[in-house]
Amino acid sequence: MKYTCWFLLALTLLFPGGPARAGESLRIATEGAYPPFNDVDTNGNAIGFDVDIAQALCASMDVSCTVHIVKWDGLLPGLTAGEFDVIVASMAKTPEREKVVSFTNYYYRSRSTFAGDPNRKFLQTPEGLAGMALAAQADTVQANYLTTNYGGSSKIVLIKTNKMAFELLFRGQVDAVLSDSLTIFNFLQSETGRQFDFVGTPLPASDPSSEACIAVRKGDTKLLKALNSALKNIRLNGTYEKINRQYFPFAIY
Amino acid sequence: MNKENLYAGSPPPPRRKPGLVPTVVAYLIISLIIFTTIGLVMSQSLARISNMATNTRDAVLPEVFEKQRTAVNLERLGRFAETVYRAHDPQIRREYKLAARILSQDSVFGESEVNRQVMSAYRDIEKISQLRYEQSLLHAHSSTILFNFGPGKKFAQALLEMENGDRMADLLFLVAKARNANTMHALKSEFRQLSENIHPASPRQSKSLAQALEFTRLRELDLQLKNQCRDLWMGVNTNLEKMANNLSINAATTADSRFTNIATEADRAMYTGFLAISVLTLAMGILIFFAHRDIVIPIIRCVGRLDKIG
Repeated sequence: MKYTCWFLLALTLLFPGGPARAGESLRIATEGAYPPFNDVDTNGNAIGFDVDIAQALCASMDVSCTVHIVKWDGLLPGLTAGEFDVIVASMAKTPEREKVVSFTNYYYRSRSTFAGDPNRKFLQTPEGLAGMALAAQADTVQANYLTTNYGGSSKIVLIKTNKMAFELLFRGQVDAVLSDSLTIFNFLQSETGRQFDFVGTPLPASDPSSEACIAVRKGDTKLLKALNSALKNIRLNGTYEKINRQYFPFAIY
Repeated sequence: MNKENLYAGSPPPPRRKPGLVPTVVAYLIISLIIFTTIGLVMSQSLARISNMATNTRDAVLPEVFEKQRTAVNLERLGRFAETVYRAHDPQIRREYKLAARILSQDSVFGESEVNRQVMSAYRDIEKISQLRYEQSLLHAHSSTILFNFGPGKKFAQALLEMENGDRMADLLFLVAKARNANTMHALKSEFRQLSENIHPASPRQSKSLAQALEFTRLRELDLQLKNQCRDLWMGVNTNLEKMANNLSINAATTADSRFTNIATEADRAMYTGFLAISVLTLAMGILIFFAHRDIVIPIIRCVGRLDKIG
């Protein structure tokens, strides 16, 4: 009996908590203003592709999850301060962000592109877009891209949420919005987006904005590995595909 | 006295056998060489299999997955094109045209020939969408005209009052139903011929005739657009299907050739293993024979002599 106890103790020390933090609870943060990836329903609950994927990952890791809605600019500081454990908010992996957090493998791919009036000339060069008002969500890779490439010639409007950027486009306050093509796809099918279309050419596939990843605290390699493994698992068992089909008519992985 | 003289006339002395320790060392070295050689051959073969398996997991399978994904996306693009071509609801056509646009930008298509063809397919899908839009406008316009040629309607009455009015009214409804260019052309020609011989008696009749001619023109245009859309869609569909099939075959061939290589290498390792075991058994037999002859027997003899002395 004594030896059995020692053996069990040794096993516990060797394999603490199993491969995926069984029985633990993860606090997941999302923005809630980036439809169809993350949004808020009428009851104030987080919904969207990101939320469904986060819940599928938690189920795969056998952990319980709570989803918190956090403003975009509060996501990274909140994660590093330990207010939550994971960010699932369509975040692109950039060298700057990698200095403060760690990223999983991508969980979807989509290229950034412009949305605007299809009847208007849209020559995608600094000269071609000179004088135009271009909008993007602040503190995003798209915002960086606009500032770097068109900051000198166009009026760059950086706004708190992607939804607000589309509202500006609808109200005619900006000429085009640079965003993820899948969020634009969602906007273009809405009542307010009917008069608009994709304009110009998408950003290169190698641009950091083309891949969305999940962020965890730097050094939390165990959780990172568990998430990557869960991601692989939900891809293989068909859960990912099921969620994908609820939102998009094609594969986005 | 030299040695030659000393042994002159007597048989030469037996060759001195090497000592026990050098014999054991020699056999150990031989065994070591055999084991090392076999070990090297086996480990090289196993390392090759391991490398191939790792490379398959890390490079070949992702490539196969990407190709399959591309093939699936190409098939989807074809379905989107079909929806844009067939759907009557402009909202659905727009949704699938947008989806086709996103799909055509998919990074899996890369910068390759596939990408060029996909972009070309998307341009055709856009054209189909535009033509379908124009077609729907024409259709709406022609339907309004045709409605006024319905039983008891103003244009119908005026048309029927004219010479050959019955036939012209019939022709209008046949034109509305025509599905191929030849039939349409024949019906339109007949209508034109009939209408050319008519001198309308009133502005009402003139307007009716003009509307009837406009209807045949719109219907012909409608049919032309429809055929143009069909040709574009068939081109898109054929190209995408061909590309998807090629990619699927290519992915299957890549996977098949890699797994065949691994299987060949594994077979080789297995044969090498059998050969190694055979060589090892033989070498062990020879070693046991020589060890018995050169080590065991001398020791037994030595022990026997010592026994006798004792």
